[in-house]
Amino acid sequence: MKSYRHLIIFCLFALLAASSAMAQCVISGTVRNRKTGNRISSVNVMLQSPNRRAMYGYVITGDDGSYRLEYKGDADSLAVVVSGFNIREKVRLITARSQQVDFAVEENELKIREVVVKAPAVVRKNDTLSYTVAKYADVTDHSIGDVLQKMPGMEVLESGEVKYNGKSINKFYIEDLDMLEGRYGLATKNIRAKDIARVEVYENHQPIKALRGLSSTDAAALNLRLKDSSKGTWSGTLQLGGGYKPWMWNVEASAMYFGRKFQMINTYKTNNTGDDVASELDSFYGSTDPMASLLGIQTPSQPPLKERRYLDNNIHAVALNTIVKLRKELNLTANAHYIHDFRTALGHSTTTYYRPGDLPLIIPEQIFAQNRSDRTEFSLRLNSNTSNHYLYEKLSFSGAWDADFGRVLNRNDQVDQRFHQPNISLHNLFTDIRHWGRWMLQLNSNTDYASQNSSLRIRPMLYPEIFDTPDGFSDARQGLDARRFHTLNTANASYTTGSMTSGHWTFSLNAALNLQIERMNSDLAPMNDAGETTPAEDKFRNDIRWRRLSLKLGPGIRYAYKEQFSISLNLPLDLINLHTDDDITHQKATTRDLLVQPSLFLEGRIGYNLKYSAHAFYGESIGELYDSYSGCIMTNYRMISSKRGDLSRNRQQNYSASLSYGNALSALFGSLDAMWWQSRRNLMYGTTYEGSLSRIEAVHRPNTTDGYTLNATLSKRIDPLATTVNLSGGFSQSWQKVLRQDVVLPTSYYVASAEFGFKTHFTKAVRLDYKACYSRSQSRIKGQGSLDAIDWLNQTADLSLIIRKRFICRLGGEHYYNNAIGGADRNMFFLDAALTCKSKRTEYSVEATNLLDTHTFNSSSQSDITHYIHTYTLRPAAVLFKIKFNLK
Amino acid sequence: MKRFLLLLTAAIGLMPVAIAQNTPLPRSLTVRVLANSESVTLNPFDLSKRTVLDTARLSVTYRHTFPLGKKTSKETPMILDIGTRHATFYSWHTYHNDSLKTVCNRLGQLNPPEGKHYSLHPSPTYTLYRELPDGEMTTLERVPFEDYAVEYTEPYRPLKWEFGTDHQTICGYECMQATTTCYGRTWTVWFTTEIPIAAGPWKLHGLPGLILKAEDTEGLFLFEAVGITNGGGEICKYDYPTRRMTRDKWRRFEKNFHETPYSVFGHENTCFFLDKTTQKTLDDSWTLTYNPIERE
Repeated sequence: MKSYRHLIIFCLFALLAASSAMAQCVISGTVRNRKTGNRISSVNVMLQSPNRRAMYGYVITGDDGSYRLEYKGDADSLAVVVSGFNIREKVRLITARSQQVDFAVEENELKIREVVVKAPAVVRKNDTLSYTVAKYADVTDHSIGDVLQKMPGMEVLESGEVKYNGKSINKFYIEDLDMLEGRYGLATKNIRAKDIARVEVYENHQPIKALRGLSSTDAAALNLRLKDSSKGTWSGTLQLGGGYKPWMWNVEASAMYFGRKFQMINTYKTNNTGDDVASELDSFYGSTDPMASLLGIQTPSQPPLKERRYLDNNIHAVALNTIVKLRKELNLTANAHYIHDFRTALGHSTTTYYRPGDLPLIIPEQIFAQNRSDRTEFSLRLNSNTSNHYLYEKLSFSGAWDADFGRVLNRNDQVDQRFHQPNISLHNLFTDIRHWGRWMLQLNSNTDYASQNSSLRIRPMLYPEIFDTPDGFSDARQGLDARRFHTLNTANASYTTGSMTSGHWTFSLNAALNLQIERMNSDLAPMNDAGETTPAEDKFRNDIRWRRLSLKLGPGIRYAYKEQFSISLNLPLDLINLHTDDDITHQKATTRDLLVQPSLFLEGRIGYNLKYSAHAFYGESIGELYDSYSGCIMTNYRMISSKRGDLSRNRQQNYSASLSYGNALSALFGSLDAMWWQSRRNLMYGTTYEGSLSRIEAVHRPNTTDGYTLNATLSKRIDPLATTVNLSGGFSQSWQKVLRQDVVLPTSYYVASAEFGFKTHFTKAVRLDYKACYSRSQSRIKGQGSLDAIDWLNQTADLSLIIRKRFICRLGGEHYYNNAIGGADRNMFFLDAALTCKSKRTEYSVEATNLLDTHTFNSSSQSDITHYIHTYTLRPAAVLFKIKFNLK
Repeated sequence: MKRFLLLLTAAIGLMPVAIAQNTPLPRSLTVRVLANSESVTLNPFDLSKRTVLDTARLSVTYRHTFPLGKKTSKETPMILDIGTRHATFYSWHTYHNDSLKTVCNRLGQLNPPEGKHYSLHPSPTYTLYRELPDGEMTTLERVPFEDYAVEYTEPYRPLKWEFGTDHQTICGYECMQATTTCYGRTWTVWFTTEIPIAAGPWKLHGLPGLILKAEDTEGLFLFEAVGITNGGGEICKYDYPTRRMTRDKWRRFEKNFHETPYSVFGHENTCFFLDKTTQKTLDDSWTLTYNPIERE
């Protein structure tokens, strides 16, 4: 019994002893420098197990070198460790009870054992950016144009032109060969997406290798890379379509071959559905300087709608394009096309000419016009592009034959017009660029010869009183033959200092020699039913020889600082020697002029989001042959003009500034543009109305026209709604003097416009686009009141549904409102629907246009003090079925 | 009217010829290449303008594994430079690209010298600066595709550590285990008292020894020391364009551009993105997997 009690007491004591050991203990103290006795702050004091394996707590000594640690465990003994970067570690073993532990530590430079690490591999970077369009090419797209359309930032216009954010691409290559030049519409609309492996984009593309590194450009270029399976083989597509109202056909066939050294794209297209397939043969970059075409029949004014709504055509177009790689970086290209188009148009227009001191002259016309045109072009091009030398030589021949027939009902008068205009031209373009170090030399030669013989036959002539007409000659014939030889040769040398990544200067000198020789013969004579004419009087004849020689010299200087800022100044001087020889009036004249055209341009960025640019320009110019002929020319059945043989001289000034803002953080973008311009001329063109005949004559009367425009845009993306909202507005005003009935009228004109739109992607399958545009415009005559303001509103909405990636259903609507049109025609509505189904090799589509069968489009507009109301007869409601399949 | 137009055309006809050389070029397209749809490009910055904060007395190289995309993870080296009063933590690849850019700018050329390339290796976007021992933490976040970084400062945030019993040898140093919860993730670290500096990778700090290994409990993020050197050059703060904002604002923006990167960086279609792996362009449907190291 006694031993049990002892045991219990012993146990109790043991417990007590144990519990007292589990009680909290506090360990505190100070840490001092053993040598100096100073307290040391910011060193570690740790509480660990004696074997240093466990950590119970730690603290850093305060400014006074003191520390305080608490321990709540049940260990018997602890290790207190002091360590720091500049002291030798000190360890003190203590029993686990509250106590003060002070340390005196030694300074010691801590030597860390080094461990060597291997450097990681660096990844290579490609210069060319490329992506396949496989994702898009599955079902929803057929031609590469359809695919490009889907790419963010890309816009493919109906013509096939490709733009990035509103700027056209500067080159379109297929396997690095530029076969089609500007006519890449042919490729975007015909090459199948299936044959393309990748589309490459060259950022900041400088197609001229010799200029790379010397001149920066922010244009981009596209290069299509083909799948190996499509290379070296022929492929093609065929589309057949038919529809009703009227009976319509739409057939397209294309054959393509892409080899390593040889490429070919050939197409044949024909339709009467209003598709202007000839537009894909239009060149998108660079344009030649066409000859002026003065004469023509009266045609109804085309409405601002998609061509498919109004174009009544019958077109056949054949195009052949090949490119051969002769040597590395030397290519030979041949392009040829032929277009035959027959168009019909029917419309009505009411033109109101305001006359000072008189009632307005109102001319109502019912207009019917038929146009048949045959055009052909053939060109050969040699191209070499190496890093030191760029060569471009192109020779082209083109011919166009237009035959038009028009019938106008002007009140009770019916006038038939027949117009013929054959036109042939030969054109040569040569460019050579070389560079050595910081120097660059560029030579350009642009030469062309064109010949145009036009004739306009008018039956009957409404104003026989202008002739001393013999009886029996109640009609009139205006003939105009023109031949022109033009050569423009320039040489440009430039030198760049500094570097592209900091400030750099470019000094350049431009020299140009320009020769233009033109000969124009015209005669307006009465004509009889059999088509014979009497000799024309001198006042209705022209026989002008015109020769212009100009020597231009222009220094330029440009400074750029990285991509932050750049400013450039150009001061071209143009010495012109003009010789005119008028064989009718027997007048010869030679004039010499020195013209200046300085211009200043600067652009830069402020901060991350803001960009600015400003431009100032002053220019002097003298007119062309068609500004100064003396004999009368009847340009259409109710307009006769003569320029009196005086040379027109003009001086212009133009100043503009713009600001643009882009903030990714808030998804907000905006821009502001302002421009002011002024133009001073020495001649005015006055119009006199005799009945409905307008006579235009040049008068010596210096006059000034000026105006300004302001534009602002704003766009914001609202993420929760998956919507982008756009807003824009603009205002422009101009002042000019109009000479009418020998009275000078100061007029002003303004246009105020606003636009709102949004694009929503509800899901991947549903897409809704909406846009509304409004504008108000008005002409005013100073001191005499104003014409009625025209309010115009246009809304378009588009809904697309993509079902299972194979079916695309589209519903679109348009609304037009014009307050200047009377009655129910003030509002016009259009409704279209389309359903497309794509399978692996075929595409089926059904398109219904103008479901509401809107017959005519009415528009109203003003220009100076003339008011126009136009009506155009549209294509009726129609349904078109199309099947497109691939041939291989 | 036709006459007037003809005159106007003739009169202005010379204008394009005269101003052809300095016609303003509209804004252009920028195309950006991504190694894959999850790795964004961080533009390199010029480091020539800088303020020297401190001299590093220790430089530790960590092997950092982080998630990229839904199922993959990437490994990249991160460097921790520790001075007396400052420490900085940054990505090796980012520093490499910045240095290359500085050299290019100095030489006046757009492209790196022969044999050198910009790295496209994905790496974290942050660079951290910390005032030792308990000063504020400055984070510089590179904004993908943009020419500026976002900067925010946080006051000292003491971490509550709990010690474990595990031991490991890392880089030849005996390490002890500790755990803490930091910014929404639970981290397990191994630190060595042989290097008595209260520093560690990323924002982990406050232990009586250098953290040589840190891992989050989900196994997504890992920092492991693979190299330690005495001294390490200067710790500098570089003067490249930065925008200051609060941490909250940055986190909201970061989440936003992960969910809709195209709308944030697409600049209204002036910029488009190419995924090199799939060879596709990226559009509105593109998202970046949002798995940030700081969950809250």
